[in-house]
Amino acid sequence: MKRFILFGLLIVGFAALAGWARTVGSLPSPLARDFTTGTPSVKSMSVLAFAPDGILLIGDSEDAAIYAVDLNDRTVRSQKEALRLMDLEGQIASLLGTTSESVLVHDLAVNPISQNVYLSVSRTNARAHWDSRFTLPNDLGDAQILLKITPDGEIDEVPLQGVKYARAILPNPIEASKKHRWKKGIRLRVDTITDLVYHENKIYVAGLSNEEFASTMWQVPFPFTEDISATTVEIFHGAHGRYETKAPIRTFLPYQLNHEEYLLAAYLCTPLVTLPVSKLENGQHLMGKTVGEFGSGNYPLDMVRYQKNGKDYILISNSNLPFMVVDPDDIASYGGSITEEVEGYTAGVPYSVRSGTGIEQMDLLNADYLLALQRMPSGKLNMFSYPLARF
Amino acid sequence: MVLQFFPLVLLYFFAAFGTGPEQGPFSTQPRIVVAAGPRGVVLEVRQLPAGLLESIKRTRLNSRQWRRFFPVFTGHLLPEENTNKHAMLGSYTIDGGLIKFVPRFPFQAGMAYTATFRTSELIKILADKTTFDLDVAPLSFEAPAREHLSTTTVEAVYPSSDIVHANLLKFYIFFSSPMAEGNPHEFIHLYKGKEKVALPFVEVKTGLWDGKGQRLTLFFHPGRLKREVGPNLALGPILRAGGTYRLVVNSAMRDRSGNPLAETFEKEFRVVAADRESPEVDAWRFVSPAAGTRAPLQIQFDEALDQALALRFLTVLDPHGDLVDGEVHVGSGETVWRLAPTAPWTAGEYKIQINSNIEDLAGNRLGQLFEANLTREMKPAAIQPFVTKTFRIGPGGKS
Repeated sequence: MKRFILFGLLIVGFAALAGWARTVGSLPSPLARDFTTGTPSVKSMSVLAFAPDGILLIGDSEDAAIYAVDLNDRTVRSQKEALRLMDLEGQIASLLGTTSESVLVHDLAVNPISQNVYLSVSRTNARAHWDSRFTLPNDLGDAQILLKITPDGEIDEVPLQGVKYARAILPNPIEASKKHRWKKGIRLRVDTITDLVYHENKIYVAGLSNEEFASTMWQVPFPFTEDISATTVEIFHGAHGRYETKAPIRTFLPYQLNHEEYLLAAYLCTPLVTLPVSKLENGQHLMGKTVGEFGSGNYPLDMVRYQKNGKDYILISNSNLPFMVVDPDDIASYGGSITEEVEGYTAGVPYSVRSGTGIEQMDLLNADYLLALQRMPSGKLNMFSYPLARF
Repeated sequence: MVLQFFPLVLLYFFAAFGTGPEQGPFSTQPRIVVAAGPRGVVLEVRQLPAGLLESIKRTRLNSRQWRRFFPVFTGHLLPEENTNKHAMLGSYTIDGGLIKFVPRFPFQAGMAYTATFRTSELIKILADKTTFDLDVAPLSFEAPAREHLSTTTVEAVYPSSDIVHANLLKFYIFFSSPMAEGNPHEFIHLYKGKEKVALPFVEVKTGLWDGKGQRLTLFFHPGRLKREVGPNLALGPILRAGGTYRLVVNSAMRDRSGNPLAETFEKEFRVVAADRESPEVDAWRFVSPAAGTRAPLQIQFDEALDQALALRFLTVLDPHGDLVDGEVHVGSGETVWRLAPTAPWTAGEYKIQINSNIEDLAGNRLGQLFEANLTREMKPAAIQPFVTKTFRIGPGGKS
């Protein structure tokens, strides 16, 4: 009898443990306590990023809003495996009932907890006319479809209906009718939000405001409050030989240099700039320090920080140049700053290149792999995982 | 509306070129057919045994399970095993005696699709383990060319009334999605009966759009609205009192995704005599809300006003002189303006500021007509930039 009871207790114990382990993944997050349940009407899913607890952040340039959505995607996945999908646009097209030419991926973000890959996508014939290296997906239209790819390669839509979410509205975004100076027919509004990063209770948002100096860094407290700060940013552009205030930051990362908090930011044609966070004050204008010029005729698209042999490195993917690896120690010890037109193609902080062109989207997948969407000579877009050790 | 579905009705009779027996419309064999839904083409599986449908209902399937036994694929052929082709996203429902598939995005004109019903997969999924002996032939079809990708429509046209003055100054056309660049006048026309009215609007080649590309402003030719001015003398006015006209927005007009409108839009309206009187603020009626509530402040105009200007040119200041924040709405044929405040009203004296540039539908402003007769003695009244009306919200709350 005793053995039966003991055995029964063991069974119950295991069942309870298993049940608990499964539900830990869906425990509510304190960051989402003020969220409402509903259907956020996102006009354009221009930028995707993650806050802690697997909360998805969506930057909506058309409506100049940030959405934080709790999809309850918190089940921890600790395996460090590669994920590979061939012809991603073709696979998405079969799901959406169209051809791969009509599928456009606007942004990609990996949930660091679950390793689920999120994509913002549009179904549009505009991609057939994507004929310039200076055009970006958000120039071609508004992404309104959110997809999720799980580590086993299953692709599903994430309908934003009846979800827990909150919304923050960016103050004074660039006016909706202002046109781009040289990209014909493109409105500057598509770059209201070019990148966003959560760091220490704030969401940093790079983009364009309606100030005379349009390039702006907003700081949005998260959980959201009305206390949003905006700082206009100016930098010296080495390749162009002049100060610029209208071009937005394209990609950035918070990073500590010499024990101070900075934002490392990269721009079109390709200055690398440091912005001290302590100087990002509301209503003020900040001159960034240009520490590198990485080459004209190119967009820096994504920037990640990874570790190799216990040391931090910064990896940048580009629209028209290969991968670039920068050692942050080199940035921290770089005494100068670029304030004159550079001779030659590059200048400033040293960096090394790695093979990998046509990388249209990139994010860290896990501690061992980088996830990249790469355009193949066939014209197809493949999803590859690059071992971080090769960089 | 019916005419749009007629080709689809024909399609239902002739589209299927599957390989099963008895594909005609009067067959009693279970089969997949193409049908017309309110938003476009849908697929239906008909003549399934009632018991099977009950069994499916009881099982409460998720999307992945539906797509395993009733998948719809792009292309002419069923995909081989282990290819990268996924079943299309869409909603599956049991409607009456049939299973309906509505694609998540409309079937694309001219593209081929193939649907199949896998009984063996279904049997594996059913909760009650019933078995059925069914052979439903796969269906391949081509989406009809009349099908539009777009769901963009004309949402509203202002003035909303179907009776307008002969000297109406403009139309605002609101689209449900941003529209493409291009000359809108290729697609927007004015008809009187069967005849197209020649050049009624000022043709701005890129169109006069708002920032979002969703609101188009059309100006009637001021030269033809103003009497005794060249174009009016030569061609006459555009709209004549007593006539009935139609404003038509052709569905070929494209939205920013490159797709045509879901349908052609028409607004029919009657024309009455010209309006040569300015709006008269003293004739407006103000209805004050009660203190402590968020009930709207309401202004009833003496005539319909320009929708965009009414939204912009009326502001309310609280007893401290600060702007009252809230949601403004213009309704009832643009004769009623309402402000629902964000915070409840407090008691005190409020001011309504009316920008004198506010216009009625004929462009007449406060104290200034659209047409000024220069031959008469001109005594321009001192036109203040603003007209201010005060109203009091008492603790009991009345105007």
